Amino acid sequence: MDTSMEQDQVPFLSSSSHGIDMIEGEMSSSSNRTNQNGLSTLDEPVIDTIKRDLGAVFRKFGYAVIPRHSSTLLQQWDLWGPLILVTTLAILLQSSATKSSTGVQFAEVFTLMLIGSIAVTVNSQLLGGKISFFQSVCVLGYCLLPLLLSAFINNILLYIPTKSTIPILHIIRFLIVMTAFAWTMYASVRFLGQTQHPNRRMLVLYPIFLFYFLIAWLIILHAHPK
Amino acid sequence: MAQLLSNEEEVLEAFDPSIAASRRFKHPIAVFFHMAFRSLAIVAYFMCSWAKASFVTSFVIIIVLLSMDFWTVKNITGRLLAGLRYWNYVDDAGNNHWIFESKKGTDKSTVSPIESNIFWLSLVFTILLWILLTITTLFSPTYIIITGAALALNVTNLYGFVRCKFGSNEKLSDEMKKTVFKSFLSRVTSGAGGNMPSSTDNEQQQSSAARTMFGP
Repeated sequence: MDTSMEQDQVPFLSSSSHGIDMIEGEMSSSSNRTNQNGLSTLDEPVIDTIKRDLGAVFRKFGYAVIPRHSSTLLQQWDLWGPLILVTTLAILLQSSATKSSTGVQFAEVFTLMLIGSIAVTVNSQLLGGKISFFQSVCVLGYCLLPLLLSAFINNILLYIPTKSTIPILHIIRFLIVMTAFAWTMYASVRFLGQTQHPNRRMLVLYPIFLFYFLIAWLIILHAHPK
Repeated sequence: MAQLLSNEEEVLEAFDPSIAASRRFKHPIAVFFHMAFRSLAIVAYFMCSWAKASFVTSFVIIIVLLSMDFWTVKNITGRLLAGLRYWNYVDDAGNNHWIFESKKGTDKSTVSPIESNIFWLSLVFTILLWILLTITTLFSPTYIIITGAALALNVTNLYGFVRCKFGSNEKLSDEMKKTVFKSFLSRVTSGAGGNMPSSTDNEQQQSSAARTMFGP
């Protein structure tokens, strides 16, 4: 009895217990009908779903910026944040003059993100940690937010005309990007470092360090506004 | 007289959902959005190449449309039109589980056959179209990313739903599925920052279960 009571709260049945099929079927259809009444107006649940998902995405951004101990980023991963951040970063890093190579440059950032995530995942799994590809894409992507902000500031700074021989502007840009890089590293270390044995933490962090350093370097090298 | 008859039909429908399901569209808005996003993505692809838009612009527009289509099909129209759902779940030990669910038994009759057909046919047809487009862009290193991504997203959805329909999760025992679902729900409701009170209301559970199906 307990089994069927629990199972009728799940409107979608995926079990194959044949003994009490009849009872399960009726109970779930009555509970499903009350669910249908609640879901019959598509507006309400869809808006709820959208609100929840949007809320989750923003919450993850919050965790990426101010790292707290939370399992949200790892256990309830989603790829919306990485998509938005990587696309925005790719747009900000455009600087080519010829039309044909803008596409290639745009794709560079995506390829970098993809290969970086694969490298981090494989490395982490080989070292005994349990992390899937999607989780590492999620963490690496969300923690990109500080670097994205620094790229944005970078682009704005490049519009300030400077005629002095001392490359003050470049020094400021370098410092800002390096600060963002350190912040990003700290955030992703707090999330990805959890999954590892303390002795192996440095080994796991090395590809993450390389990945973010590459992106930071791309940002610094973007010295000519389009 | 006609008035009386139509009331009778409605009364009958209230007791037997299969009558309602088989007769008409139950979720017209869902069907509309299901078709809208994927048609828009394909139209945008052709428009961008006809208008000679820059790669970046066309990439962003098409990818946005494709991801909205993917999310809608996975989380909303799959659930409403075909009664299928699949999601990923990472437990506390760090193990990855993919869970495929489908409506069974008498619930199956609440799925309208017209909508189910539209769902499956549009899925397959879209994939065929994107395969064709991928072949045309095989020698362009940049546009193949767009068509490749479109193909990958649609094939993922098709694979997930096919696995739901011809279910292959007999290996998960019933007990385990129950515990997985319950712990998943408790984490979801507590992880929502206390916004949703953890009640055992059916609606609440279903809507909170629908919550985290955003992860592609």
